[in-house]
Amino acid sequence: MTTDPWHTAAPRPYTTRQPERAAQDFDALFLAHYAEIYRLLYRIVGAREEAEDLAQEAFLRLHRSPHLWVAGEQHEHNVRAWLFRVATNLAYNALRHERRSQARQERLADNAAGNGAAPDPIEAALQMDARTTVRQALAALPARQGQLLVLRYAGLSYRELAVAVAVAPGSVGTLLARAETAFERAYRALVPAQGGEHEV
Amino acid sequence: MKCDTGLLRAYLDDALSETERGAVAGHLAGCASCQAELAMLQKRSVQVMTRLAILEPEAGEAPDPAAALARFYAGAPAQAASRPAPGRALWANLKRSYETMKQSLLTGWRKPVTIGATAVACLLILFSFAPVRQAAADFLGIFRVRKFAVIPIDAAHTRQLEELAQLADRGAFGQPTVVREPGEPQAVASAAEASALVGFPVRVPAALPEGALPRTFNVQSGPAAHFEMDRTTMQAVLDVTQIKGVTLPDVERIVIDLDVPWVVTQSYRRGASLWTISQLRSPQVDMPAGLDLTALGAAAFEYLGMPEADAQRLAQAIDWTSTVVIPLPTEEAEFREVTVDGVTGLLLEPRSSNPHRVVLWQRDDIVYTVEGVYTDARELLLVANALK
Repeated sequence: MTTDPWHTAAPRPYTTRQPERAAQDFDALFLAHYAEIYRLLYRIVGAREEAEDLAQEAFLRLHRSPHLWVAGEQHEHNVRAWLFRVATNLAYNALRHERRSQARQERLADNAAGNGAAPDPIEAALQMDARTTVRQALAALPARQGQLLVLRYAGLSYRELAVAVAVAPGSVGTLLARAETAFERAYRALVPAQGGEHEV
Repeated sequence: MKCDTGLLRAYLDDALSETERGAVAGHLAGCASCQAELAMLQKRSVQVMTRLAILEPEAGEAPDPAAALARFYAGAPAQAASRPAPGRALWANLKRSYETMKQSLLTGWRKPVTIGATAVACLLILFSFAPVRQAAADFLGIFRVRKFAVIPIDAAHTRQLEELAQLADRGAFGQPTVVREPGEPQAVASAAEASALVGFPVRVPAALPEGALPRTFNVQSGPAAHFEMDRTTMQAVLDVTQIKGVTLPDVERIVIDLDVPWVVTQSYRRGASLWTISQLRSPQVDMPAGLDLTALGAAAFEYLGMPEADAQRLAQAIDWTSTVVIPLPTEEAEFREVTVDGVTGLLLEPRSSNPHRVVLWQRDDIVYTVEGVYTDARELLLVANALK
Protein backbone atom coordinates (compact mmCIF):
# COMPACT_ATOMS: atom_id res chain seq x y z
CA MET A 1 0.00 0.00 0.00
CA THR A 2 2.91 2.35 -0.58
CA THR A 3 1.50 3.83 -3.74
CA ASP A 4 -1.79 5.44 -3.12
CA PRO A 5 -2.71 7.92 -5.82
CA TRP A 6 -5.32 9.58 -3.63
CA HIS A 7 -2.93 10.39 -0.92
CA THR A 8 -0.31 11.71 -3.25
CA ALA A 9 -2.71 13.75 -5.37
CA ALA A 10 -2.92 17.32 -4.22
CA PRO A 11 -6.19 17.45 -2.36
CA ARG A 12 -8.63 20.02 -3.62
CA PRO A 13 -10.15 21.79 -0.68
CA TYR A 14 -13.86 21.46 -0.35
CA THR A 15 -14.87 25.04 -0.77
CA THR A 16 -17.97 26.09 1.05
CA ARG A 17 -18.31 28.76 -1.57
CA GLN A 18 -19.97 26.31 -3.90
CA PRO A 19 -21.78 23.76 -1.80
CA GLU A 20 -24.59 23.42 -4.29
CA ARG A 21 -22.22 22.52 -7.10
CA ALA A 22 -20.40 20.08 -4.86
CA ALA A 23 -23.67 18.45 -3.85
CA GLN A 24 -24.57 18.03 -7.51
CA ASP A 25 -21.18 16.49 -8.24
CA PHE A 26 -21.58 14.02 -5.45
CA ASP A 27 -25.14 13.15 -6.42
CA ALA A 28 -24.02 12.54 -9.97
CA LEU A 29 -21.25 10.20 -8.84
CA PHE A 30 -23.61 8.39 -6.53
CA LEU A 31 -26.19 7.84 -9.26
CA ALA A 32 -23.58 6.88 -11.83
CA HIS A 33 -21.82 4.27 -9.73
CA TYR A 34 -24.35 3.04 -7.21
CA ALA A 35 -25.71 0.18 -9.28
CA GLU A 36 -22.31 -1.31 -10.12
CA ILE A 37 -21.07 -0.91 -6.57
CA TYR A 38 -24.19 -2.59 -5.26
CA ARG A 39 -23.79 -5.48 -7.70
CA LEU A 40 -20.17 -5.90 -6.73
CA LEU A 41 -21.05 -6.01 -3.05
CA TYR A 42 -23.90 -8.36 -3.66
CA ARG A 43 -21.60 -10.76 -5.47
CA ILE A 44 -19.28 -10.80 -2.51
CA VAL A 45 -21.68 -10.90 0.42
CA GLY A 46 -24.68 -12.51 -1.25
CA ALA A 47 -27.37 -10.68 0.69
CA ARG A 48 -29.28 -7.73 -0.55
CA GLU A 49 -29.69 -5.84 2.67
CA GLU A 50 -26.06 -6.21 3.58
CA ALA A 51 -24.95 -5.16 0.11
CA GLU A 52 -27.11 -2.06 0.40
CA ASP A 53 -25.70 -1.17 3.79
CA LEU A 54 -22.15 -1.63 2.57
CA ALA A 55 -22.86 0.47 -0.50
CA GLN A 56 -24.14 3.23 1.75
CA GLU A 57 -21.00 2.98 3.81
CA ALA A 58 -18.77 3.11 0.72
CA PHE A 59 -20.48 6.27 -0.49
CA LEU A 60 -20.36 7.76 2.96
CA ARG A 61 -16.61 7.37 2.83
CA LEU A 62 -16.55 8.98 -0.56
CA HIS A 63 -18.64 11.83 0.77
CA ARG A 64 -16.14 12.34 3.55
CA SER A 65 -13.31 12.55 1.02
CA PRO A 66 -14.42 15.52 -1.03
CA HIS A 67 -10.96 16.04 -2.50
CA LEU A 68 -11.65 12.94 -4.59
CA TRP A 69 -14.67 14.33 -6.34
CA VAL A 70 -15.12 18.06 -5.86
CA ALA A 71 -12.41 18.81 -8.38
CA GLY A 72 -14.43 17.30 -11.18
CA GLU A 73 -13.85 15.12 -14.16
CA GLN A 74 -10.13 14.65 -14.04
CA HIS A 75 -10.65 12.47 -11.00
CA GLU A 76 -13.49 10.39 -12.29
CA HIS A 77 -11.41 7.45 -13.37
CA ASN A 78 -9.74 7.22 -9.99
CA VAL A 79 -12.94 7.80 -8.10
CA ARG A 80 -14.44 4.71 -9.64
CA ALA A 81 -11.45 2.56 -8.78
CA TRP A 82 -11.37 4.11 -5.33
CA LEU A 83 -15.02 3.26 -4.75
CA PHE A 84 -14.49 -0.29 -5.90
CA ARG A 85 -11.53 -0.69 -3.61
CA VAL A 86 -13.34 0.72 -0.61
CA ALA A 87 -16.38 -1.41 -1.35
CA THR A 88 -14.42 -4.65 -1.72
CA ASN A 89 -12.50 -3.94 1.45
CA LEU A 90 -15.71 -3.31 3.32
CA ALA A 91 -17.23 -6.48 1.95
CA TYR A 92 -14.26 -8.64 2.81
CA ASN A 93 -14.12 -7.16 6.30
CA ALA A 94 -17.79 -7.93 6.73
CA LEU A 95 -17.22 -11.49 5.56
CA ARG A 96 -14.36 -11.95 7.97
CA HIS A 97 -16.49 -10.80 10.86
CA GLU A 98 -19.39 -12.92 9.93
CA ARG A 99 -17.81 -15.96 8.47
CA ARG A 100 -18.73 -18.20 11.32
CA SER A 101 -22.01 -16.51 11.96
CA GLN A 102 -25.13 -18.60 11.71
CA ALA A 103 -27.11 -15.49 10.81
CA ARG A 104 -25.24 -15.20 7.54
CA GLN A 105 -26.17 -18.68 6.44
CA GLU A 106 -29.79 -18.04 7.32
CA ARG A 107 -29.82 -14.82 5.42
CA LEU A 108 -28.30 -16.45 2.39
CA ALA A 109 -30.95 -19.12 2.58
CA ASP A 110 -33.73 -16.55 2.90
CA ASN A 111 -32.28 -14.64 0.06
CA ALA A 112 -32.11 -17.60 -2.25
CA ALA A 113 -35.60 -18.70 -1.30
CA GLY A 114 -37.14 -15.26 -1.49
CA ASN A 115 -35.78 -13.83 -4.71
CA GLY A 116 -38.35 -15.51 -6.89
CA ALA A 117 -35.81 -16.50 -9.50
CA ALA A 118 -36.24 -20.20 -8.95
CA PRO A 119 -39.78 -21.05 -7.92
CA ASP A 120 -38.96 -24.73 -7.72
CA PRO A 121 -37.61 -25.34 -4.20
CA ILE A 122 -35.13 -27.94 -5.40
CA GLU A 123 -33.92 -25.56 -8.07
CA ALA A 124 -33.65 -22.85 -5.43
CA ALA A 125 -31.62 -25.06 -3.16
CA LEU A 126 -29.26 -26.00 -5.97
CA GLN A 127 -28.91 -22.39 -6.94
CA MET A 128 -28.10 -21.41 -3.38
CA ASP A 129 -25.70 -24.26 -3.15
CA ALA A 130 -23.86 -23.18 -6.26
CA ARG A 131 -23.63 -19.61 -5.04
CA THR A 132 -22.38 -20.74 -1.68
CA THR A 133 -19.73 -22.89 -3.30
CA VAL A 134 -18.44 -20.03 -5.41
CA ARG A 135 -18.33 -17.74 -2.37
CA GLN A 136 -16.55 -20.37 -0.33
CA ALA A 137 -13.98 -20.82 -3.08
CA LEU A 138 -13.43 -17.05 -3.17
CA ALA A 139 -13.17 -16.92 0.60
CA ALA A 140 -10.50 -19.63 0.52
CA LEU A 141 -8.19 -17.39 -1.50
CA PRO A 142 -5.88 -14.75 -0.11
CA ALA A 143 -7.97 -11.57 0.11
CA ARG A 144 -6.21 -9.79 -2.71
CA GLN A 145 -6.73 -12.64 -5.15
CA GLY A 146 -10.42 -12.82 -4.34
CA GLN A 147 -10.78 -9.08 -4.71
CA LEU A 148 -8.94 -9.11 -7.99
CA LEU A 149 -11.27 -11.72 -9.45
CA VAL A 150 -14.43 -10.03 -8.27
CA LEU A 151 -13.26 -6.64 -9.48
CA ARG A 152 -12.18 -7.98 -12.83
CA TYR A 153 -15.54 -9.64 -13.19
CA ALA A 154 -17.15 -6.29 -12.33
CA GLY A 155 -15.49 -4.91 -15.42
CA LEU A 156 -12.61 -2.86 -14.06
CA SER A 157 -9.81 -2.19 -16.50
CA TYR A 158 -6.28 -3.31 -15.66
CA ARG A 159 -5.44 0.27 -14.78
CA GLU A 160 -8.37 0.48 -12.41
CA LEU A 161 -7.54 -2.92 -10.97
CA ALA A 162 -4.01 -1.77 -10.24
CA VAL A 163 -5.37 1.21 -8.35
CA ALA A 164 -8.08 -0.77 -6.60
CA VAL A 165 -5.80 -3.44 -5.18
CA ALA A 166 -2.76 -1.16 -4.93
CA VAL A 167 -0.34 -2.99 -7.20
CA ALA A 168 1.75 -1.92 -10.16
CA PRO A 169 -0.24 -1.95 -13.41
CA GLY A 170 2.33 -4.24 -15.01
CA SER A 171 1.72 -6.98 -12.47
CA VAL A 172 -2.04 -7.22 -12.87
CA GLY A 173 -1.82 -9.90 -15.56
CA THR A 174 0.45 -12.10 -13.46
CA LEU A 175 -1.68 -11.69 -10.33
CA LEU A 176 -4.89 -12.33 -12.23
CA ALA A 177 -3.55 -15.52 -13.79
CA ARG A 178 -2.46 -16.72 -10.35
CA ALA A 179 -5.80 -15.81 -8.80
CA GLU A 180 -7.67 -17.72 -11.48
CA THR A 181 -5.54 -20.80 -10.98
CA ALA A 182 -6.03 -20.62 -7.22
CA PHE A 183 -9.77 -20.10 -7.57
CA GLU A 184 -10.20 -23.10 -9.86
CA ARG A 185 -8.25 -25.25 -7.47
CA ALA A 186 -10.30 -24.10 -4.49
CA TYR A 187 -13.55 -24.54 -6.38
CA ARG A 188 -12.70 -28.07 -7.46
CA ALA A 189 -11.73 -28.95 -3.94
CA LEU A 190 -15.25 -28.01 -2.90
CA VAL A 191 -16.95 -29.87 -5.72
CA PRO A 192 -15.09 -33.15 -5.89
CA ALA A 193 -18.08 -34.82 -7.48
CA GLN A 194 -17.40 -33.09 -10.76
CA GLY A 195 -14.83 -35.60 -11.84
CA GLY A 196 -13.64 -36.03 -15.35
CA GLU A 197 -12.40 -32.46 -15.70
CA HIS A 198 -8.70 -32.17 -15.73
CA GLU A 199 -6.81 -29.49 -13.99
CA VAL A 200 -6.12 -26.87 -16.60
CA MET B 1 10.78 -11.47 -25.29
CA LYS B 2 10.75 -14.28 -22.77
CA CYS B 3 7.77 -16.45 -22.04
CA ASP B 4 5.67 -14.51 -19.53
CA THR B 5 2.35 -15.71 -18.13
CA GLY B 6 1.38 -12.24 -16.90
CA LEU B 7 1.88 -10.70 -20.32
CA LEU B 8 -0.08 -13.49 -21.96
CA ARG B 9 -2.90 -12.97 -19.49
CA ALA B 10 -2.96 -9.24 -20.20
CA TYR B 11 -2.74 -9.98 -23.92
CA LEU B 12 -5.94 -12.03 -23.56
CA ASP B 13 -7.73 -9.08 -22.01
CA ASP B 14 -6.32 -6.69 -24.57
CA ALA B 15 -4.77 -4.73 -21.73
CA LEU B 16 -1.34 -4.19 -23.26
CA SER B 17 0.16 -1.17 -24.93
CA GLU B 18 0.51 -1.41 -28.66
CA THR B 19 4.22 -2.10 -28.42
CA GLU B 20 3.79 -4.87 -25.85
CA ARG B 21 0.97 -6.31 -27.81
CA GLY B 22 3.10 -6.49 -30.92
CA ALA B 23 5.94 -8.11 -29.01
CA VAL B 24 3.68 -10.76 -27.52
CA ALA B 25 2.06 -11.49 -30.87
CA GLY B 26 5.49 -11.83 -32.46
CA HIS B 27 6.69 -14.14 -29.72
CA LEU B 28 3.52 -16.24 -29.83
CA ALA B 29 3.95 -16.93 -33.53
CA GLY B 30 7.15 -18.83 -32.84
CA CYS B 31 6.56 -20.34 -29.40
CA ALA B 32 4.39 -23.43 -29.19
CA SER B 33 4.46 -23.59 -25.40
CA CYS B 34 3.17 -20.01 -25.10
CA GLN B 35 0.43 -20.81 -27.60
CA ALA B 36 -0.61 -23.69 -25.42
CA GLU B 37 -0.44 -21.57 -22.30
CA LEU B 38 -2.51 -18.84 -23.90
CA ALA B 39 -5.19 -21.37 -24.78
CA MET B 40 -5.13 -22.69 -21.22
CA LEU B 41 -5.32 -19.21 -19.73
CA GLN B 42 -8.25 -18.39 -21.93
CA LYS B 43 -10.11 -21.54 -21.00
CA ARG B 44 -9.55 -20.96 -17.31
CA SER B 45 -10.51 -17.32 -17.48
CA VAL B 46 -13.78 -18.22 -19.14
CA GLN B 47 -14.35 -20.92 -16.56
CA VAL B 48 -13.78 -18.57 -13.64
CA MET B 49 -15.95 -15.85 -15.14
CA THR B 50 -18.71 -18.39 -15.73
CA ARG B 51 -18.57 -19.54 -12.14
CA LEU B 52 -18.60 -15.98 -10.83
CA ALA B 53 -21.60 -15.18 -12.99
CA ILE B 54 -23.81 -17.15 -10.63
CA LEU B 55 -23.21 -14.53 -7.96
CA GLU B 56 -24.95 -11.89 -10.05
CA PRO B 57 -28.03 -10.46 -8.34
CA GLU B 58 -31.32 -11.15 -10.09
CA ALA B 59 -32.58 -8.32 -12.24
CA GLY B 60 -35.29 -7.36 -9.78
CA GLU B 61 -33.02 -7.37 -6.77
CA ALA B 62 -31.12 -4.19 -7.48
CA PRO B 63 -32.28 -1.19 -5.49
CA ASP B 64 -33.12 2.06 -7.22
CA PRO B 65 -30.10 4.41 -7.12
CA ALA B 66 -32.29 7.46 -6.53
CA ALA B 67 -33.93 5.78 -3.55
CA ALA B 68 -30.50 4.78 -2.29
CA LEU B 69 -29.34 8.37 -2.63
CA ALA B 70 -32.32 9.63 -0.71
CA ARG B 71 -31.60 7.05 1.94
CA PHE B 72 -28.02 8.18 1.98
CA TYR B 73 -29.03 11.74 2.80
CA ALA B 74 -31.66 10.62 5.21
CA GLY B 75 -29.17 8.36 6.96
CA ALA B 76 -32.00 5.86 7.31
CA PRO B 77 -31.50 2.19 8.13
CA ALA B 78 -31.90 -0.37 5.39
CA GLN B 79 -35.35 -1.72 4.74
CA ALA B 80 -34.23 -3.62 1.74
CA ALA B 81 -36.04 -6.81 2.53
CA SER B 82 -39.44 -5.19 2.55
CA ARG B 83 -39.01 -2.75 -0.28
CA PRO B 84 -40.46 -3.84 -3.60
CA ALA B 85 -37.76 -4.08 -6.20
CA PRO B 86 -38.19 -1.65 -9.06
CA GLY B 87 -38.12 -3.28 -12.44
CA ARG B 88 -35.74 -0.84 -14.03
CA ALA B 89 -33.60 2.16 -13.45
CA LEU B 90 -36.33 4.58 -12.70
CA TRP B 91 -34.13 7.43 -11.86
CA ALA B 92 -32.22 7.03 -15.07
CA ASN B 93 -35.44 7.18 -17.00
CA LEU B 94 -36.84 10.26 -15.40
CA LYS B 95 -33.49 11.90 -15.38
CA ARG B 96 -33.35 11.32 -19.09
CA SER B 97 -36.77 12.70 -19.75
CA TYR B 98 -35.98 15.67 -17.57
CA GLU B 99 -32.76 16.22 -19.45
CA THR B 100 -34.64 16.01 -22.70
CA MET B 101 -37.07 18.54 -21.39
CA LYS B 102 -34.31 20.77 -20.17
CA GLN B 103 -32.59 20.59 -23.49
CA SER B 104 -35.77 21.59 -25.16
CA LEU B 105 -36.29 24.41 -22.75
CA LEU B 106 -32.86 25.69 -23.44
CA THR B 107 -33.55 25.84 -27.08
CA GLY B 108 -35.11 29.22 -27.15
CA TRP B 109 -35.81 30.14 -30.72
CA ARG B 110 -37.05 33.38 -32.02
CA LYS B 111 -35.99 36.91 -32.34
CA PRO B 112 -35.97 39.28 -29.56
CA VAL B 113 -38.85 37.61 -27.97
CA THR B 114 -38.26 33.96 -27.56
CA ILE B 115 -39.63 30.64 -28.24
CA GLY B 116 -38.14 27.68 -26.66
CA ALA B 117 -39.05 25.19 -29.28
CA THR B 118 -37.93 21.67 -28.94
CA ALA B 119 -39.40 21.17 -32.27
CA VAL B 120 -36.94 23.49 -33.78
CA ALA B 121 -34.24 22.20 -31.55
CA CYS B 122 -34.59 18.76 -32.97
CA LEU B 123 -34.34 20.19 -36.35
CA LEU B 124 -31.50 22.48 -36.36
CA ILE B 125 -29.21 24.50 -34.42
CA LEU B 126 -29.91 24.00 -30.86
CA PHE B 127 -28.76 20.49 -30.59
CA SER B 128 -25.46 21.90 -31.58
CA PHE B 129 -25.42 23.89 -28.42
CA ALA B 130 -23.71 21.17 -26.46
CA PRO B 131 -21.21 23.43 -24.72
CA VAL B 132 -23.96 25.83 -23.90
CA ARG B 133 -26.10 23.03 -22.62
CA GLN B 134 -23.14 21.90 -20.65
CA ALA B 135 -22.60 25.36 -19.31
CA ALA B 136 -26.23 25.71 -18.52
CA ALA B 137 -26.68 22.25 -17.14
CA ASP B 138 -26.58 23.57 -13.64
CA PHE B 139 -29.77 25.41 -14.11
CA LEU B 140 -33.11 23.86 -13.64
CA GLY B 141 -34.55 25.43 -16.70
CA ILE B 142 -33.56 28.06 -19.14
CA PHE B 143 -36.24 29.45 -21.33
CA ARG B 144 -38.46 32.35 -21.94
CA VAL B 145 -42.03 31.45 -22.39
CA ARG B 146 -45.55 32.39 -21.87
CA LYS B 147 -46.98 28.98 -22.40
CA PHE B 148 -45.91 25.39 -22.26
CA ALA B 149 -47.06 22.69 -24.60
CA VAL B 150 -46.27 19.02 -24.25
CA ILE B 151 -45.67 16.67 -27.13
CA PRO B 152 -45.84 13.10 -25.92
CA ILE B 153 -43.22 10.96 -27.61
CA ASP B 154 -42.76 7.23 -27.45
CA ALA B 155 -39.64 5.32 -26.47
CA ALA B 156 -38.37 4.85 -30.02
CA HIS B 157 -38.58 8.54 -30.78
CA THR B 158 -37.02 9.39 -27.45
CA ARG B 159 -34.03 7.35 -28.48
CA GLN B 160 -34.00 8.97 -31.89
CA LEU B 161 -33.93 12.38 -30.23
CA GLU B 162 -31.08 11.34 -27.98
CA GLU B 163 -29.07 10.03 -30.88
CA LEU B 164 -29.47 13.32 -32.65
CA ALA B 165 -28.41 15.15 -29.51
CA GLN B 166 -25.33 12.97 -29.26
CA LEU B 167 -24.47 13.68 -32.84
CA ALA B 168 -24.67 17.37 -32.10
CA ASP B 169 -22.69 16.92 -28.90
CA ARG B 170 -19.86 15.54 -30.97
CA GLY B 171 -19.88 18.72 -32.96
CA ALA B 172 -21.44 17.30 -36.10
CA PHE B 173 -23.38 20.49 -36.68
CA GLY B 174 -20.75 22.95 -35.56
CA GLN B 175 -19.78 24.43 -32.26
CA PRO B 176 -21.04 27.57 -30.61
CA THR B 177 -18.69 30.06 -29.04
CA VAL B 178 -19.25 30.62 -25.39
CA VAL B 179 -19.25 34.38 -25.02
CA ARG B 180 -19.69 34.32 -21.29
CA GLU B 181 -19.30 31.41 -18.94
CA PRO B 182 -22.00 30.95 -16.34
CA GLY B 183 -21.05 32.37 -12.97
CA GLU B 184 -20.56 30.40 -9.80
CA PRO B 185 -23.57 30.21 -7.52
CA GLN B 186 -23.48 32.93 -4.90
CA ALA B 187 -25.22 32.38 -1.63
CA VAL B 188 -27.65 35.10 -0.63
CA ALA B 189 -29.29 35.68 2.70
CA SER B 190 -32.65 37.04 1.66
CA ALA B 191 -35.06 37.66 -1.16
CA ALA B 192 -34.18 41.35 -0.98
CA GLU B 193 -30.50 40.62 -1.50
CA ALA B 194 -31.27 38.25 -4.37
CA SER B 195 -33.63 40.77 -5.98
CA ALA B 196 -30.99 43.48 -5.82
CA LEU B 197 -28.52 41.22 -7.61
CA VAL B 198 -30.74 39.90 -10.34
CA GLY B 199 -32.89 42.94 -11.03
CA PHE B 200 -36.31 41.38 -10.67
CA PRO B 201 -38.38 40.73 -7.58
CA VAL B 202 -37.39 37.36 -6.18
CA ARG B 203 -40.14 35.54 -4.34
CA VAL B 204 -39.91 33.14 -1.43
CA PRO B 205 -42.57 30.77 -0.16
CA ALA B 206 -44.64 32.13 2.71
CA ALA B 207 -45.46 28.57 3.76
CA LEU B 208 -43.73 25.22 3.48
CA PRO B 209 -44.75 21.61 3.94
CA GLU B 210 -44.63 20.75 7.61
CA GLY B 211 -41.14 20.06 8.82
CA ALA B 212 -39.38 21.51 5.75
CA LEU B 213 -36.38 23.70 6.45
CA PRO B 214 -34.39 26.09 4.28
CA ARG B 215 -31.30 24.53 2.75
CA THR B 216 -29.76 26.83 0.15
CA PHE B 217 -30.49 30.17 -1.45
CA ASN B 218 -28.31 31.04 -4.45
CA VAL B 219 -28.15 33.31 -7.42
CA GLN B 220 -26.12 32.47 -10.48
CA SER B 221 -25.53 34.27 -13.75
CA GLY B 222 -26.14 32.28 -16.88
CA PRO B 223 -24.02 31.75 -19.98
CA ALA B 224 -24.05 33.63 -23.24
CA ALA B 225 -23.19 32.02 -26.53
CA HIS B 226 -22.89 32.82 -30.17
CA PHE B 227 -23.60 30.30 -32.85
CA GLU B 228 -23.30 30.35 -36.58
CA MET B 229 -24.37 27.71 -39.00
CA ASP B 230 -23.83 27.83 -42.72
CA ARG B 231 -26.18 26.62 -45.40
CA THR B 232 -24.33 23.40 -46.05
CA THR B 233 -24.54 22.40 -42.41
CA MET B 234 -28.19 23.38 -42.21
CA GLN B 235 -28.89 21.12 -45.15
CA ALA B 236 -26.84 18.34 -43.53
CA VAL B 237 -28.99 18.53 -40.41
CA LEU B 238 -32.12 18.27 -42.47
CA ASP B 239 -30.65 15.29 -44.30
CA VAL B 240 -29.64 13.50 -41.13
CA THR B 241 -33.07 13.96 -39.67
CA GLN B 242 -34.71 13.15 -43.00
CA ILE B 243 -36.86 16.18 -42.62
CA LYS B 244 -38.51 17.28 -45.79
CA GLY B 245 -40.70 20.16 -46.80
CA VAL B 246 -38.74 22.80 -44.98
CA THR B 247 -37.39 25.75 -46.86
CA LEU B 248 -34.14 27.11 -45.59
CA PRO B 249 -34.05 30.87 -45.22
CA ASP B 250 -32.41 32.68 -48.05
CA VAL B 251 -29.21 33.47 -46.17
CA GLU B 252 -25.72 32.04 -46.26
CA ARG B 253 -25.41 31.79 -42.51
CA ILE B 254 -27.74 31.60 -39.60
CA VAL B 255 -26.48 33.52 -36.61
CA ILE B 256 -27.93 32.88 -33.21
CA ASP B 257 -27.10 34.66 -30.00
CA LEU B 258 -28.23 33.20 -26.76
CA ASP B 259 -28.05 35.03 -23.48
CA VAL B 260 -29.17 33.43 -20.26
CA PRO B 261 -29.56 35.92 -17.44
CA TRP B 262 -29.65 35.31 -13.72
CA VAL B 263 -31.19 32.26 -12.17
CA VAL B 264 -32.29 32.21 -8.56
CA THR B 265 -32.50 28.87 -6.80
CA GLN B 266 -33.82 28.09 -3.34
CA SER B 267 -34.05 24.67 -1.85
CA TYR B 268 -35.82 23.28 1.17
CA ARG B 269 -35.36 19.91 2.72
CA ARG B 270 -37.20 17.55 5.04
CA GLY B 271 -35.38 14.27 5.47
CA ALA B 272 -35.11 12.80 2.01
CA SER B 273 -37.66 15.21 0.57
CA LEU B 274 -36.30 18.14 -1.34
CA TRP B 275 -38.01 21.10 -2.98
CA THR B 276 -36.10 23.34 -5.34
CA ILE B 277 -37.57 26.59 -6.58
CA SER B 278 -36.00 28.28 -9.59
CA GLN B 279 -36.90 31.69 -10.94
CA LEU B 280 -35.43 33.37 -13.93
CA ARG B 281 -36.08 35.85 -16.62
CA SER B 282 -36.12 34.12 -19.94
CA PRO B 283 -32.92 33.95 -21.90
CA GLN B 284 -32.56 36.20 -24.85
CA VAL B 285 -32.31 34.35 -28.12
CA ASP B 286 -31.85 36.30 -31.33
CA MET B 287 -32.72 34.49 -34.49
CA PRO B 288 -32.60 35.53 -38.10
CA ALA B 289 -35.76 36.48 -39.88
CA GLY B 290 -37.00 34.39 -42.73
CA LEU B 291 -37.42 31.07 -40.96
CA ASP B 292 -40.78 29.51 -41.36
CA LEU B 293 -41.21 28.41 -37.78
CA THR B 294 -44.54 26.79 -38.33
CA ALA B 295 -43.12 24.59 -41.07
CA LEU B 296 -40.08 23.77 -38.95
CA GLY B 297 -42.33 22.94 -36.04
CA ALA B 298 -44.51 20.68 -38.12
CA ALA B 299 -41.47 18.91 -39.50
CA ALA B 300 -40.13 18.44 -36.01
CA PHE B 301 -43.40 16.97 -34.78
CA GLU B 302 -43.28 14.51 -37.62
CA TYR B 303 -39.72 13.70 -36.67
CA LEU B 304 -41.01 12.96 -33.19
CA GLY B 305 -43.45 10.46 -34.59
CA MET B 306 -46.62 12.46 -35.17
CA PRO B 307 -48.72 11.76 -38.27
CA GLU B 308 -48.26 14.48 -40.87
CA ALA B 309 -51.78 15.88 -40.67
CA ASP B 310 -51.65 16.12 -36.88
CA ALA B 311 -48.21 17.67 -37.02
CA GLN B 312 -49.40 20.37 -39.41
CA ARG B 313 -52.48 21.11 -37.37
CA LEU B 314 -50.60 21.32 -34.10
CA ALA B 315 -47.77 23.43 -35.52
CA GLN B 316 -50.31 25.92 -36.79
CA ALA B 317 -52.14 26.00 -33.50
CA ILE B 318 -49.00 26.86 -31.58
CA ASP B 319 -47.90 30.44 -31.16
CA TRP B 320 -44.24 29.88 -31.80
CA THR B 321 -43.28 33.23 -30.41
CA SER B 322 -44.27 32.32 -26.89
CA THR B 323 -44.54 28.59 -26.43
CA VAL B 324 -42.06 26.12 -25.13
CA VAL B 325 -42.65 22.70 -26.52
CA ILE B 326 -41.62 19.90 -24.23
CA PRO B 327 -41.17 16.42 -25.66
CA LEU B 328 -42.24 14.10 -22.91
CA PRO B 329 -41.46 10.39 -23.12
CA THR B 330 -44.86 8.92 -22.44
CA GLU B 331 -43.51 5.71 -21.04
CA GLU B 332 -41.85 7.53 -18.24
CA ALA B 333 -43.81 10.58 -17.33
CA GLU B 334 -47.19 12.16 -17.66
CA PHE B 335 -48.36 15.74 -17.51
CA ARG B 336 -51.41 17.78 -16.66
CA GLU B 337 -52.34 21.40 -16.61
CA VAL B 338 -52.73 22.83 -13.15
CA THR B 339 -53.69 26.18 -11.74
CA VAL B 340 -50.70 27.47 -9.89
CA ASP B 341 -49.76 30.91 -8.63
CA GLY B 342 -52.93 32.24 -10.24
CA VAL B 343 -52.04 31.09 -13.75
CA THR B 344 -52.07 27.88 -15.76
CA GLY B 345 -48.94 25.79 -15.34
CA LEU B 346 -47.80 22.32 -16.16
CA LEU B 347 -47.21 19.48 -13.73
CA LEU B 348 -44.92 16.68 -14.90
CA GLU B 349 -45.06 13.49 -12.91
CA PRO B 350 -43.35 10.16 -13.34
CA ARG B 351 -45.40 7.12 -14.22
CA SER B 352 -43.13 4.97 -12.16
CA SER B 353 -42.16 5.16 -8.54
CA ASN B 354 -39.45 7.64 -9.45
CA PRO B 355 -39.43 10.27 -6.74
CA HIS B 356 -39.01 13.32 -9.02
CA ARG B 357 -41.76 15.63 -10.18
CA VAL B 358 -41.82 19.21 -11.36
CA VAL B 359 -44.30 22.02 -11.85
CA LEU B 360 -43.53 24.91 -14.17
CA TRP B 361 -45.31 28.13 -15.01
CA GLN B 362 -44.74 31.65 -16.18
CA ARG B 363 -45.94 34.84 -14.58
CA ASP B 364 -45.04 38.46 -15.19
CA ASP B 365 -42.19 37.48 -17.52
CA ILE B 366 -40.55 35.27 -14.95
CA VAL B 367 -40.40 31.54 -15.44
CA TYR B 368 -40.79 29.43 -12.34
CA THR B 369 -40.08 25.80 -11.73
CA VAL B 370 -40.54 23.89 -8.52
CA GLU B 371 -38.93 20.49 -8.54
CA GLY B 372 -39.71 17.98 -5.86
CA VAL B 373 -38.00 14.81 -4.77
CA TYR B 374 -39.87 12.45 -2.46
CA THR B 375 -42.87 14.66 -2.26
CA ASP B 376 -46.34 14.52 -3.78
CA ALA B 377 -48.16 16.85 -6.12
CA ARG B 378 -50.08 18.41 -3.25
CA GLU B 379 -46.93 19.45 -1.40
CA LEU B 380 -45.27 20.58 -4.60
CA LEU B 381 -48.20 22.85 -5.41
CA LEU B 382 -48.33 24.03 -1.82
CA VAL B 383 -44.79 25.35 -2.19
CA ALA B 384 -45.53 26.80 -5.62
CA ASN B 385 -48.68 28.57 -4.46
CA ALA B 386 -47.04 29.93 -1.34
CA LEU B 387 -44.60 32.14 -3.28
CA LYS B 388 -44.87 35.72 -2.08
